[in-house]
Amino acid sequence: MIRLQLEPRAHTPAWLNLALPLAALLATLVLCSGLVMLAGADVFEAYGALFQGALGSRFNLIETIVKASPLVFTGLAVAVAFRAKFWNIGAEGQLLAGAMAAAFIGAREFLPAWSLVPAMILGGALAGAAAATVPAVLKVRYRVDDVVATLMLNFVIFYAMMALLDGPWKDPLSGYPDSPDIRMDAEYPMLLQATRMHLGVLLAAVGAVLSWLLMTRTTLGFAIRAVGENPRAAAHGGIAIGRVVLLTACVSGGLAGLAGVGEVAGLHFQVMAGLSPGYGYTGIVIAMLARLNPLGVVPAALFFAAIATGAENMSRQTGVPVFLADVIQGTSLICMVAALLFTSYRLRIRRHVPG
Amino acid sequence: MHGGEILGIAGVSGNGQRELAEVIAGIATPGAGHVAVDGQVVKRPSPRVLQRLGVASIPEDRIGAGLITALPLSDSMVLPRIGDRRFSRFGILNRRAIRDFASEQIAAFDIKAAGPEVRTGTLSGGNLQKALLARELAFDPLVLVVAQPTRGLDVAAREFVHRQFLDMRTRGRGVVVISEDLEELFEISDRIAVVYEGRVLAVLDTAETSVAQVGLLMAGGAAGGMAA
Amino acid sequence: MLQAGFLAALIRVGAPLLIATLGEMFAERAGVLNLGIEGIMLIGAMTGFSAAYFTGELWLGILAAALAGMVFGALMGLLTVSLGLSQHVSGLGVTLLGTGLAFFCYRLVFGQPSQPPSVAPFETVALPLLSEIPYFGPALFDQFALVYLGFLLVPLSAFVLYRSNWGLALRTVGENPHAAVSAGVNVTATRYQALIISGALMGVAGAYLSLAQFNAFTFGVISGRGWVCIALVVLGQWDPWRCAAAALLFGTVDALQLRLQSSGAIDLPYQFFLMLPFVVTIVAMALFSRRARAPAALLVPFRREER
Repeated sequence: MIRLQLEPRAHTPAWLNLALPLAALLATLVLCSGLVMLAGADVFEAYGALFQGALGSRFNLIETIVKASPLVFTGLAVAVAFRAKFWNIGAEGQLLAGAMAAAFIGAREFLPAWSLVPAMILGGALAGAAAATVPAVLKVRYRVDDVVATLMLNFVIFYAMMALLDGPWKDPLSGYPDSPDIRMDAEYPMLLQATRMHLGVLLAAVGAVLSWLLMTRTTLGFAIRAVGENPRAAAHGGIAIGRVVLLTACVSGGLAGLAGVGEVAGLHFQVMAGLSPGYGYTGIVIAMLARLNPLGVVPAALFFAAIATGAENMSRQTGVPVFLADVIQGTSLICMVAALLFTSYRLRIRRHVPG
Repeated sequence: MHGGEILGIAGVSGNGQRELAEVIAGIATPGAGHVAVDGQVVKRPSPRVLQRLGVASIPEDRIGAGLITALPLSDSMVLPRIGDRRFSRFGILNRRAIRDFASEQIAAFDIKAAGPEVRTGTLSGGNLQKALLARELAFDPLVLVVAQPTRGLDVAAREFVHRQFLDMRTRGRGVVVISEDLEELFEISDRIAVVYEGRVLAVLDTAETSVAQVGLLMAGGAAGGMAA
Repeated sequence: MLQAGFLAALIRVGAPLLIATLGEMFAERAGVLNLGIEGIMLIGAMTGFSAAYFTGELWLGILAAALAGMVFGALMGLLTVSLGLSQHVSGLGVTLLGTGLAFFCYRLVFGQPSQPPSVAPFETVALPLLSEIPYFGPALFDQFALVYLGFLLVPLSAFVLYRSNWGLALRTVGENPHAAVSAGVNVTATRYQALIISGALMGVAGAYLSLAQFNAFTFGVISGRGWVCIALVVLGQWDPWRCAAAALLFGTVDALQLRLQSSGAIDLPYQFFLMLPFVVTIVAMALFSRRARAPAALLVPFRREER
């Protein structure tokens, strides 16, 4: 009789760090192909259309990269927070806070032209940080569960934004709920002429590197990891847990806020209702796929940007509902978490000789 | 306690030893009384403050409160002193210095570990204790407070640990050993304090008492009169 | 505000939350945080609606929703109990998966017609005699059948939890799984059972929304109410009666904000009223979380070999 057994590992071989996310993504595509077939489409044609729509042409490729930029930021935000076991499900709201701050600052007439972009970046990051600090304070002082607090705040911020869009920010001409445009000088410069690839893309890449440096090379990063792994030992070692959680929230919220700034300053130049189709939640999946490593967030974000960009094309060509992208998102999170099992355990096949 | 002595704390588990250790370590606030070092009362005790005053503590729960099993051994070993100039400047870590420190201590204390970067959780109990000792002793504390120092250790490791305590005593430092092992306390302590139900019942000179007397006190018996 | 109409409204609005909160309570009492609630409620809403639409039977919709919920509850069990994965992340994964599948399947089955499909929703059922009691009668006893189901679930849950063998096993598993093993309880099976029950209840709660409170499935039919139930379990201190009270309290706030919106008494944009329930939840959590005593083994995966 053959038995499968999980036995604990001494340490995780390095190649697993790359192999596991890839395996999870592969498993996801295989599992979701069932849904494609259910929709009556050919699997290869559907996936082909998906990736074609994402990477098939220069235009599509740039669209994917542009879409990846807010995802990198939200992925980073979640990766940093989760390291401290601060369950920041509020990246969505923090993104919107940053976006609103950027839209407000970017429309101010009294600011000199050169100051607009830096002010928006700073203001957006601060707004996001503030939005994340509220649940952090609630957690540290009042023992409120961070999942609930960050989630509730998402809805509060969203409705606040809708109130603004329906009121002082309503477009007087069209009557649509979208805010006035930011000033021309507040727009992010484009990295490539005549394309939509804006400064935010570069900022996202820089953000990933800086976040990685923060987590691996600074005392704060050290403290964050310690608090996340073993708060008691960290406390015995003299680390001020409450302060670390608050700082983590600030960094995390700030990163998510920058995602919002990018969408306003680089892409839409205003705030509208559909500004974020769930970037904050996708960030969670991205962070887990990247195993909370800031550098790994970049390829993971690109993957999900590709899925999101290509889904439209796939839907048009093969009739598979565009929501396959959402199912892929959920499935990959589950597959990735299951795959993580193999970092701590290895599979042993035992042959049992009875008697 | 005085410098140049080893003070043993005896008592049946659950009579306040853990709380005592936590108060001295600065984790817990005392309900009554205070901690004083060198005659100075410590106003707002915290692990950092006590560390700076030269009080080092090794918690009883090695993997729950001492080391962090999921992190590399070097990280666990510099955990209490990560802000030290040796290991970080302006918030930036000096990874080489951290690694070197860990390697030094692994060699000096003969810790059986493949290297400074292995996961802390892969070490055996005895080696974990050595690592905890190393990380505190490397900074020459004035007082070392340690709970159940040789629990689960083999004979060689136990001797090693005791030698470190005696060595500290020779250098004029103080060691507070909280242990359930009376034999151990009688082996190395100069004086023994007995705790019972959260109070110190008596502090006796080791030379002038016996296991029986201490045992009686541990069970709550009267302090005077019962010389062996 | 204390009119009978308002009482009826708050019960109507609070009932689905009550059912879902009880579901979450069972899971957490067994030691598993079920963050899949929002996704499972959506699956329930979609499955229930689809089944009712195609069979013409509303109760078949409810049954289908319960079954779908049970499947997802079992999935949570697979991830958190059998594989011992992080309960937070597993739950988020189940929610994202549930959300995606609900939207995908709905779009697949119904397409994008100009006139969204709907069903004839549940009618309220007036209980004879009871509904004639002045003031309370119409409010309490002229409600959907599902509301009566909710009413019954509360004492039933309390009985099961506190007076049945299974309930005792469940509570032990949630407080001290190792002690449960010594007592001969199968921890894995118990947690699976709790999660399957929680999934069923969450599915039914979702279907309540699409089949009773509204008459169709929309993408925003849950809109965060599942997450609120997580808070309601804490506020209800993991006890069926208190959870029911918390759910009805939230129903009050929700019904209140609807009233305030339409009455125009307070001159604020309507979105502030929509925000109100969530703000109240945060404030309530801030006031009560300090004293909350969760089941001791909540969030701790049970591994036989571990100390």
